[in-house]
Amino acid sequence: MNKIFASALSFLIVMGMIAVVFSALIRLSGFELITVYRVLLAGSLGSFGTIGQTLIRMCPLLLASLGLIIAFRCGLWNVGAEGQLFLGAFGATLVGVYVSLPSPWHILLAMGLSFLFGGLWGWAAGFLKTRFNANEVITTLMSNFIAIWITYYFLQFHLKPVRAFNPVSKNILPTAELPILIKGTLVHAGIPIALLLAVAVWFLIHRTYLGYTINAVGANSAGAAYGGIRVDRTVLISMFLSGGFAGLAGMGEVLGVHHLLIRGVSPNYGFIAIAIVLIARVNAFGAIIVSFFFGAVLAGGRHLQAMVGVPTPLVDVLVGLFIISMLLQPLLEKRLAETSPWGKRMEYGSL
Amino acid sequence: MPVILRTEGIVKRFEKVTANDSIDFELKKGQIHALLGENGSGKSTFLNVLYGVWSPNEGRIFIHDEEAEIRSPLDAIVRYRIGKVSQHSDLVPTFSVGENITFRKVPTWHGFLIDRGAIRKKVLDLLDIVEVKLDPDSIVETLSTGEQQQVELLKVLAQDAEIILLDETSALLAPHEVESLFSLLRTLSNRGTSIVFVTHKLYEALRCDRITVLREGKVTLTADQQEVGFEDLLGAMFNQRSINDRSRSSMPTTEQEIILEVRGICTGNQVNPRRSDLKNVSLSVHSGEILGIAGIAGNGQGILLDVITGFCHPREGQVLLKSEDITRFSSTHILRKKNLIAYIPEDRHKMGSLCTLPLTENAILGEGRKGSFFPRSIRHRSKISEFTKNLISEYEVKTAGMNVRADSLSGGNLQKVILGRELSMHADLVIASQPSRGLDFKTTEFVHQKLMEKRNQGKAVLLVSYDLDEIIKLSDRIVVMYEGALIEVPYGETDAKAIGRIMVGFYENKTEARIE
Repeated sequence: MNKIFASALSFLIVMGMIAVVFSALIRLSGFELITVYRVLLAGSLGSFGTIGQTLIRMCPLLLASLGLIIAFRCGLWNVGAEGQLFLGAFGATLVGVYVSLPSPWHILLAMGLSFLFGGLWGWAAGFLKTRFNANEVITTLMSNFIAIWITYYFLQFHLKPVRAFNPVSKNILPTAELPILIKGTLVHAGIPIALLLAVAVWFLIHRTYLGYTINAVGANSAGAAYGGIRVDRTVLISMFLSGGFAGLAGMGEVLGVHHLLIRGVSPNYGFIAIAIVLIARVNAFGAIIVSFFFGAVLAGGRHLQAMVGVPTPLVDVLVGLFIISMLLQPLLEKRLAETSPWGKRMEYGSL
Repeated sequence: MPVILRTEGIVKRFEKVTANDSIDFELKKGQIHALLGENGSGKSTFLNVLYGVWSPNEGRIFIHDEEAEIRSPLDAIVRYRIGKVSQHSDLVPTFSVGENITFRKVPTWHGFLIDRGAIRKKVLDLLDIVEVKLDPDSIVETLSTGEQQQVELLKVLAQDAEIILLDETSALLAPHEVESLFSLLRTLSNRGTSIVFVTHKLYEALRCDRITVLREGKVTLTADQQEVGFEDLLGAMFNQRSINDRSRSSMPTTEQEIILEVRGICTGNQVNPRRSDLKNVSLSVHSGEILGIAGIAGNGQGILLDVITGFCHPREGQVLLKSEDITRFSSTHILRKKNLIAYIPEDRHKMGSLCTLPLTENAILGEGRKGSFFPRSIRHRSKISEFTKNLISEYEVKTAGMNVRADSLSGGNLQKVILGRELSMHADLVIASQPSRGLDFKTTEFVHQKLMEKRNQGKAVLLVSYDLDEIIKLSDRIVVMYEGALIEVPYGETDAKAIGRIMVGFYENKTEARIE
């Protein structure tokens, strides 16, 4: 079967599957289908304001994805972006609230500390792997909880003003706020920064020696070691950069969106980013498109909840459906491409 | 003898490539039938058709004169009693030898508890018949490649297969193992088992009852072994009938510089060393010579190379490269950075290449190339593609382009890439481990020629091979590695039988092999 046709058909099938399942769930919950889809679209791409809503969700997703791209390219299954993001947010808050500096330097220092916090957290998992051969999937997954609860602890007992009831930090100083780029929207300077960093990560992976070593270690660490590449060093650098980018995602939320640290600083951005990277086939430019798409789904979902009263879990189901289906899509495409038009499979054992 | 398996006009196409072009084949009961051909001649594909991995595009298969439709390997073994030993390991690496061998029919206690005693007994009986030294309880992944291959063979034997397909199983075996393999196959054939023996080695084919030669997917010759000779088979395998036996261009002189010197290397546990641990190993390689290390797989060759190339550090002893001590401070990183050692590793997939990356990335692997291909750490794309292009043409690599994934290349072409990459480094020491493993005749010749070229340019070459013919053909001096120790072969000894004796432990004034 024609490859383009197979690709298009597989996309249609996948989207159809999502539509059927989601529609059924909506009907079962007693909502009007057309209203729900209209609001979903309006809330993500309907106007300048809602596109802004999409973009501010795209920003942390993209930044975390960029970090994961570096780790995944190096063959490291970093599933700890969420925790690294929290520590980054924590670091940015520290600088934002307690340091006073003139504007650009203030932001840069906050970025630096959030990158360092997230990066060191990632580096620690890399260290455990290189030193004790600890599986990074387990260490990064578990360190999420440690990082998140460390952040909560500081938020509750140190950052929160003494009299305040809610576990919320003080506002960051205005000099640390990322400027709003378009009046009347929430589009902040973190978004172009994320896009620039996407180009930088692409360049790093595809055009530099460090990128070459990262790819080599990810493809075959024994082969890389044989070629004289210092595998442990590459692993540590990758994990540091990976965590650092996730930290920047947390920075963007604090300096650009909330202007203070809250417990819900990340609605699972770090986990959704894993799916984004896989769907984007571990490519930085692909991640821009896919994270925009998931930003739209999240923004639309939020709108849906506010306008129609569709409960949050249902929106999460939609995100989950997208993740599963888009990961299925390449497999489906491959299967379709290998099928001859009259339906008989050409090769044994494909898929 | 009745015909047990017959095919008529088997055609198997992969997109545009016709791997099998109308193959007619007949296997009689109790016959050892050699399937001979170069790499890429369609032998493995045909075997996979018989084993149910591929279904043919055209043609029919008859088993016991009944048309058979072999849908899967499980079908092949259960319904048609066809077993296969493949080139690559099909074993479960974390299971023991016994568990692997009895994999399909694990002896159990009332169907749910595994009966370890019965496994052990069954396997020991089998090992006894085939005279293989193996511990049924050792874990497969701790075994050497050679030993794993033996387990693989035993596994199929344990399945009571009526037809056994062997896909280049002999490629990794030492001469005496090939001997015992053939005597084993003979025993089995006398008991009525039919065997298809895929090989690209002429002398092995000539030991079978009947020979079918494939070239480019077609049958070019089928005859009984008595009817054909060496030249007929060569003619059927290759288009042009040329095989030149190169002799050495010059004999080494005594005033050559010592490039590599290894002094008294010991590794592993002092009290209870394993068979493959090095025991006081010393050797030296001079410029302009090829030192061949012969030996059966798993006698410590791998560890020796790891020590020399800086992958692991010895307990005792020194490694000197051009009189510089590289034992302790050295690591692969430093050796590579300074382009000191060109190394063609044994496993070209797991070690020698970055399989999932494009050819270009594989061509430039090596820390020493950083400066020229990544000036100021930024990729110099035109230089890299030019280098790759030159490598592809100079080493006659057959590839669809330089951006294809390395694992899309055939084994021979991948080896050429590795060879080209390493030899273009201009290191004074070239280490080649099993450089022609699994390669066809022509590629093997090519590899040998390149190694000889290096030697004639005055480089030192250390050759490790389980293929004794290769060692004898190329080496200026030969040493044998046996149970972690080196035994010097007297200069000028080129009799395979004499060297083979040393390889299995009969040497000098020793009259008996050591048996654990």
